[in-house]
Amino acid sequence: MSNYEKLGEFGFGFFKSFLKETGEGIRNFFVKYRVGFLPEGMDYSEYQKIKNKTVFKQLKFLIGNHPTLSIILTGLYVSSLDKELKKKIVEENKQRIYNKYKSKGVSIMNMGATGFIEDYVKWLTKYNVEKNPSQQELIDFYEKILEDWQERSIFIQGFMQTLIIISKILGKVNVGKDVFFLFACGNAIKTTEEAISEISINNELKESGYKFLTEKLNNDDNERVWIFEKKED
Amino acid sequence: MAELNLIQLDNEKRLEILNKLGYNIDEGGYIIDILTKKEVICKYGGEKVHINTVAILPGSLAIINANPVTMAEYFMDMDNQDEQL
Repeated sequence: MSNYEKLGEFGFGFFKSFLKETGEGIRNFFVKYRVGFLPEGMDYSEYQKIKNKTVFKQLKFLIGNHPTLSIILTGLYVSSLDKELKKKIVEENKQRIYNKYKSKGVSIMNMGATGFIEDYVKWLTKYNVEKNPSQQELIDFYEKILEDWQERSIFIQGFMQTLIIISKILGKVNVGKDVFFLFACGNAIKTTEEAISEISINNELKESGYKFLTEKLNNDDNERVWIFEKKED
Repeated sequence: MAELNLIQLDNEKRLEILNKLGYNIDEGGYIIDILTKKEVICKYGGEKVHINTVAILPGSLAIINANPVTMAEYFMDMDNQDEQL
């Protein structure tokens, strides 16, 4: 295959005109045309689209230019990939992210892999409207959730029985976690609904001051999250 | 931020570009400055930049190891620069 066929008219044109440049023109070329060169097989054009999505803009509005925004961008990119690729990218980059962003960064990547970032931003927006915190208070809250996201998350497996799920939920309630998240997919959704229904009938959540809401994940009826929040009266 | 045009090129062609910019590779495939012979360090990852992963990007002419994390950091950097203008 010729260079022209491989790069397409656009890419080939840029590449050829770049090679004709000399001296200062070479560096100006990059600025003038806002062109960059990546290894074959790498395509990050999706990042430009994600940055223009409402979810990203909304989070930026809420927390400003927070240092984790780049990992949010990566997380949203990861959440758009298929399952195998998600897993691969998270595994390949987990250490790199931990080294620079510590547990907050790893939590965002895990949220990305679960497809939860959009719902997290939606929920944070709701929290902001209801509680009306200062931006710094909201940032502190955002960071607090990320720092121990693992501690705040329950992943329900298909083999888990209702009683196990109830004990997992009540475990978080009993330690007084102000917010926690429960994830289930496929058959585990029905068992989780039964478990929540049972503790709701017994008023165990209400008496402990908890309310919950549930959302689909990845726009898929087979993936759900429940967000449990302890309400201050 | 105005859209960037990101073109995928094989190692050979990216090396041609790097040569024109004053860089080459050492025997391990890492990018070096032709004049100083020093290895180029990725400003985001802090690691030596390898020919298999090198991206050459506009802005302050970033020569970085491209991966999902560094590319996101680059895009955010560019946004911040644009906001400051």
